[in-house]
Amino acid sequence: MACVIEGHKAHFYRDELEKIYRLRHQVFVDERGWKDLWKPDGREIDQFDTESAVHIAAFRNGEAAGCARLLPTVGPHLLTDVYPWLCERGPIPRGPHIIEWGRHCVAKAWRDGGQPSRVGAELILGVLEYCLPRGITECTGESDPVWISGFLQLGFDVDPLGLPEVIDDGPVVAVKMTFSDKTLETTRSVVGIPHSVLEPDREEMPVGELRLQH
Amino acid sequence: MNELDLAMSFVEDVKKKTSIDDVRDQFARTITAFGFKSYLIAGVPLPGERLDDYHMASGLPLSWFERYMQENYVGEDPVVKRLRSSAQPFVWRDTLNDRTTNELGTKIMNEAHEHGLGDGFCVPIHGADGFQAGVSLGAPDVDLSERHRGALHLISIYVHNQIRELLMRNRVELPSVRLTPRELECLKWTSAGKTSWEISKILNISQHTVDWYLGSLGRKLGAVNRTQAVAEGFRRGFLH
Repeated sequence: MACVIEGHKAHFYRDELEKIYRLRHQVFVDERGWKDLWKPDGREIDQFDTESAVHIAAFRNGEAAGCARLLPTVGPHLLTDVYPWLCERGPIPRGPHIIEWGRHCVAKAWRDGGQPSRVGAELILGVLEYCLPRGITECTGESDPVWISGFLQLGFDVDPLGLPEVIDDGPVVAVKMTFSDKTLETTRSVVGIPHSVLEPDREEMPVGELRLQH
Repeated sequence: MNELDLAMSFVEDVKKKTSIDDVRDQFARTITAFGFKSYLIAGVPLPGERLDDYHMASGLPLSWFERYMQENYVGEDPVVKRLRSSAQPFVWRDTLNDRTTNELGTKIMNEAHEHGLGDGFCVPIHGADGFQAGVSLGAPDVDLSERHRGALHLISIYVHNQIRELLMRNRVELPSVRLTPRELECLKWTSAGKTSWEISKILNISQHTVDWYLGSLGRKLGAVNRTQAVAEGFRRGFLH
């Protein structure tokens, strides 16, 4: 199962967000060596983790096993504010129906040696299930080109916005991905998870049930 | 056209191609602009397996392709060995220093040279279901800028995907399978995450009977477990 944490509801999810920031630090700073993101307290938080950010996360045994961050492209986000040169062709795609999908990671223990993991699949399905009912049908992102083949196979339409550039020792390409209900169907079929992965929104549940989660 | 335009127009056009021959023509034209004249697109065989079942498309000198297949060089080819462990594109000659490259590997590279393939560029492909493939380009010699490598990386990803999709589309129709109404109900509830016990309560039949239906539909779908039965159910259109 995956859960949605909208930035403006952070007060409902203090523990979870804490675990998400620590997971991001472990993966992006400790493992991948993105030194610019290093924080003395081991919590990887940046200027984009605001009330507008939406976190999709999967928890296992009370620990964050994977997470992803969605940012509205009408506000500040990485492609426009940090890596605009990656978009070599035309204007950067922005709009209310486009989100930026980033900080996508799965904890080492939950990866499946080259195989796409169940946690990773839940995150992708979680993003689709969150976006589609809200009329969000496109996303932008900065990614290692190696991921493009997988997303094409899951039924995403992936368009590169420029050529890959080497950033922090690894190639990064800016992409725009378009998705629909058909993408959700294809993804479910390829990863073998035929049902919804999203937990109900905590705010909509009676207060008494909150403690039962995780 | 510069490398950016070549890559972007290739990506845009290749998606519209409906025949493998058209894809190959467009690919061959595009890589020529980068100095390559030969290519091989294939899945990566497991150690000990032959290339035959993994071959997707090739434009290699025929004499070299025949020799490569006949001698079953895929098992010791240093490029294939690197493909199994690498996610990033690489130049053929760099694999000569790999720990796994043996004498036969060096001989294969030398023979390729004699067939006009002095060097090459290889792009590993990793799919969402764990499959591995490679797009390998050959030339008399290779000297690529970062920009050219990046452009060829993208071109290779998209040529592989389009050929994969067209091969799937053209695949012979699946043998038709008929499920009974009860089997179909059990499959639907299983896909909704229900256990045999839960399904037995919903359908008001014994758990033993539910297991029997699931076993029967599993055999019909050629599935070894419930997850695979559900995946097959989607693929064959029993589930939506």
